[in-house]
Amino acid sequence: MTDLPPLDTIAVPQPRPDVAYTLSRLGRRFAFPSLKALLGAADWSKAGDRVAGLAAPDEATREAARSILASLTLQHLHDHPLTDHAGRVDAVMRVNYQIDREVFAELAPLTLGALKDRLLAASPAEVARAGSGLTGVMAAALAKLCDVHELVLLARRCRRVATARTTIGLRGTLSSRLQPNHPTDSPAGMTALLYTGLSMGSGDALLGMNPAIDTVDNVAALLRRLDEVRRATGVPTQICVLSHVKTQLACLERGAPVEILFQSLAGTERVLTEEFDVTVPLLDHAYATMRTRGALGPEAPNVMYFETGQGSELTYGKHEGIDMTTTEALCYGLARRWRPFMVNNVTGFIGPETHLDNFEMIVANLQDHFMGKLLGLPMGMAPCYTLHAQVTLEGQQIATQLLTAAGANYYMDVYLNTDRMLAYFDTSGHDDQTLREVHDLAPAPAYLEWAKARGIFEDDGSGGVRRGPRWGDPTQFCASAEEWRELRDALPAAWGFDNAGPRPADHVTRTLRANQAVAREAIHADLHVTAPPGVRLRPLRTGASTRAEHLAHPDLGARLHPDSTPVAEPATVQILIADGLSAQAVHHNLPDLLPVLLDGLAAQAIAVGDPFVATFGRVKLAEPLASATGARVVVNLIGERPGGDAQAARSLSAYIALQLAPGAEQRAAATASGHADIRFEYTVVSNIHAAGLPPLEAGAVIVEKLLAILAHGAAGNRLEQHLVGHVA
Amino acid sequence: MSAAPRSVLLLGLDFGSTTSSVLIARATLSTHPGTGRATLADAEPVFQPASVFTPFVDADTLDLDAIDSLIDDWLASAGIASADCFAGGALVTGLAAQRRNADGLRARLHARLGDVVVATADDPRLESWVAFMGACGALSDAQPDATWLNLDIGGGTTNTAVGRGGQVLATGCHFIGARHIQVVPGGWHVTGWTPHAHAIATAIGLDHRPGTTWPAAAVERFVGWQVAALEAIVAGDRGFFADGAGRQIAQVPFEWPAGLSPACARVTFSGGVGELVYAIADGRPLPPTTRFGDLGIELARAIVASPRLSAAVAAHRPARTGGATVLGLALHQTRIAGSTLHLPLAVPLPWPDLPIVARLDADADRAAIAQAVARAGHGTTGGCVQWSVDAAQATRERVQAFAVDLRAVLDARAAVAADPPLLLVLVACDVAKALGGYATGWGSAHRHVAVIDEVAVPRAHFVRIGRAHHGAVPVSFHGLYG
Repeated sequence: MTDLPPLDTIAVPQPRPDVAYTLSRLGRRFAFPSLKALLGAADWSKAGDRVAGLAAPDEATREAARSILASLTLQHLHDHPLTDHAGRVDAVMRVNYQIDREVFAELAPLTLGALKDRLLAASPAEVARAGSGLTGVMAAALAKLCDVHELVLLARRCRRVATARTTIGLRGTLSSRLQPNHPTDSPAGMTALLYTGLSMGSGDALLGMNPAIDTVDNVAALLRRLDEVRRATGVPTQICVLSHVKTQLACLERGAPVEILFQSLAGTERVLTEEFDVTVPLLDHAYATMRTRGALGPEAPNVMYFETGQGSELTYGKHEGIDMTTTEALCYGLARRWRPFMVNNVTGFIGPETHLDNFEMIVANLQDHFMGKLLGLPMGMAPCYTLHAQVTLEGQQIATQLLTAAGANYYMDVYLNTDRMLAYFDTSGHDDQTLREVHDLAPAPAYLEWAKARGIFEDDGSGGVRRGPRWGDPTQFCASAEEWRELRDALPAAWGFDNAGPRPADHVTRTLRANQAVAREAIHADLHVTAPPGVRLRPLRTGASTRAEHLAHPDLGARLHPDSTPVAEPATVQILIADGLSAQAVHHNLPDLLPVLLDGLAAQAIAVGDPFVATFGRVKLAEPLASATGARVVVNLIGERPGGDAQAARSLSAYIALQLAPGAEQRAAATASGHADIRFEYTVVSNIHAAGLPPLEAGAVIVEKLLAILAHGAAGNRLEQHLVGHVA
Repeated sequence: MSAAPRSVLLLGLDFGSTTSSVLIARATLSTHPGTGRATLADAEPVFQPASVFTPFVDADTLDLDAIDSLIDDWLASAGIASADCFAGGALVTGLAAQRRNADGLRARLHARLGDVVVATADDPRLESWVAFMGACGALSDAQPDATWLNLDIGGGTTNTAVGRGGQVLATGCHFIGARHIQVVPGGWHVTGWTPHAHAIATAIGLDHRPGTTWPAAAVERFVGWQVAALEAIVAGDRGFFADGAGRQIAQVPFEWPAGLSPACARVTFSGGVGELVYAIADGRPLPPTTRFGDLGIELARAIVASPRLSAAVAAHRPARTGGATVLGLALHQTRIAGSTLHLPLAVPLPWPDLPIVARLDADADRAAIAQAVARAGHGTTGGCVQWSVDAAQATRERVQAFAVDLRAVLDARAAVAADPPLLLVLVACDVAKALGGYATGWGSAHRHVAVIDEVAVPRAHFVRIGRAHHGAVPVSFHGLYG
């Protein structure tokens, strides 16, 4: 049942020294010192690759790289596996070489340019077959040679169907994952989102939520709740809670209904193992377990679900010198080992440091979809954004129209695009249904029959499907109007439930967009802090000189500018005020918070320096400040990344950083964290704003936390363990 | 507070004139995503056996040992211990609260369950409040623009509450119920009566000597008087209760709040007689008349026959009729305090039965604060002062000014009272840590002072602060007035 070849049986060529690639064109010489450099330069310029120094400096260089790439044979790419920082072929790369050798042998002599030409002229079956003989690197290289039409056209030829309890990816269908995320995993809140999504024809691929609390107890409880709703409504679909694979396996051991097993993947082994705590053998074990003991039983051929996203390797600093598109393709080459039911990217989730604007997000998503489909995956897509990038709802909508034309299997349904837990923006049930109507698509067959029986959809009399009389009516799943009202009241940022055709009613859209506008404005406002009476503020410069730098390079805001390094002083506590991702948060909360904080510390005779103010500052700026001043604790009052709610756009956090004393204290922290070199521990007080934790009260909370940190010489989880048994 | 939602158990116990009930509900304690406040939600009854007759030793004395055994049996059947419960209420109600050992029962309940529930007797306004919340609280929430008046009619009393938008605005209690006349089941041979029945029968000239058998007309006149009294309550006719029998049966007079029209009120019923009202209206079969040895069925029929009282019976049904009080006790009696409190380590929770001795307005001066603190210091176990300031008024300047004055008062008292009892300050808006911090030098002085916030304080004489559960502190009130 699980015929997974052991890693050491996968044939991979020995790594070779870097080869330089050159081209002369119209008197200009273009040189690329390695295959990694060539691959990076051949891609469209994206923020993440620019940060990594891999993007081509200009269009001519990019086209030169593409010309060289197009001239390389697949055999050449095969014989030059990309290596990690230690010069070895890591596990992810090795799995990518798990290819159909017969198919590869046929294609190996072809140049990439010739392969592209062949595929453009080939039948769908030929294109689909070709993918089985390609590694992720080859797929990524091919993607870089394709324009938008070609990415859409070739992907469309690769229909990839998958079956768990039900089947998705069939011709004429567009499915969705109904994502009922709630900031506190409220059963009522998640049920409200489930009912709303089901009433809009969502969830035919999956009822799948990201848990706010990633414990076995909570995840098992969420699985049971999803299962209850699935059974009670009779909806033909499958369920999943997207926690760590180990947590889900533990839930399965306890008898929780684990139907689809999820894991985030990465394109380098270092990120996969060190950041995601996952190995190939672990996933092999997980797959084998699911095939034999998963809730859908051994008859379900596809039971795995993977998410990826361009740029995650870069943000961890473990991309091994490989560009984002190629590492993304390596994820897909890894994922196909376990014949997944669903794979989707989440490109745009990280922010402007990987994808700056609509264009970068759109092309990245088209590439992802093409590469995944070519490599054999039943690709869904999640083109998404955060408010501090120059990516907009319109850009997302353009991406999804193109992706649907390209044949994407599914999208997310996040109600009104606003994920209330993860503070990002994905596709909505309205978007999914609109795309169906534009492209004449329907939900998966079994789900469609269920939905017709409920009046959510109906036959249109000419062989097609249209919205039925109960489309968009979540109360159909409730016993009473009171029940729906109680469920709805558990939802934050639920701007309304009125619809106009497949779209939200205009008043709902206006409210949603107004809230987003306030949130974006908060990010781009300049920081202006007025000192309270008797308080002197000290300006501090960071490594970021402009907002563009600040947003594109998060690490710069965590460093002190060389010309702005404070000197040591006797204060035990330093206060840092930073805009972070919302200067407005500082403006609205600081006037009430700072005086209380200073008064509280003075009452306890704690020596506090005059507060520092840093424009373009990040959370970890606290650390170099602590090191420079010698402070025991730095309180960083910093604007949070706005979500989709206007009030929350003015939300401040207090990151209280304890500089660990060498010796027993540092050793205790190292033991607790698992990081031997840990130097700082953090306690965070978040959600500080008028409608959350009011700033006046927050000041007092911070004082209390500070006093406890100083008393116990611990912060974060270690502090909470000291405080167990004491209320509030 | 821990962010993960947690399941908790809520307990309600009602010992009434005729019957006693228990209800155990399971609810989810979680953190509101926007405000960070702890909330109780998704409450569902998980154990509610049939009511039993309240055990009496004789007509005037509750059987406390039998009640103890009853509680033992209930908890055993539910498979829990009282310590497993997060919060709730135990109430001795109606005529049971008039019995000579009612307070003894309250004390026994408190001794046994006081760590988790508030136990009280003879608290008619609280009874009216919980019955409203248990019966038509959800209706009132769902239709906030309507005025709802709930009549909880049991064996001895009718507890009245009127509300809008899920909030109770006024309460009252009258000795109108099924068991003021006791008869031999199957007929109307009178075996006993209450002083209130005596007053009514005298007023309308009914012979109620021992051994009397009433003809149907007499029964009709008696319950007819009771129905007239109920109609007067609904209509806001205070003249009915100004003197004579009317005055005698008014335990807590009910007054319509200013600005609300009685004519628009939708009347709902709960309690034992309330259950019968809806059964009659639905045409369901009833037990034979006087099956329970009282006039409950006759009273219910007369209520249904009253156009004013029964106008809303067909269209609007409360969530609960029978067991509304115990449901209200379990689900609505407990509020959750804010998530950031100022709690003294020196006085651990729970704090039962703190008297609320003073209410200070937003701009209370030092003299008023001093008076309130002095009153709170009279009791050996402590006292509570409410500071009535809303979120808009709770500016940093005002909170600081109040705290400075409070600190000065406390400093002055500390000079003369070495070991003061607990002083709890209750505030409706989220300022507890700031207020407590400024007033106590962030815990360096006055370690007997606590501030609890984000709880709406009703007109009540007592507050109970329960034991914390994963950082959530339950708060309940009793001794309601006004």
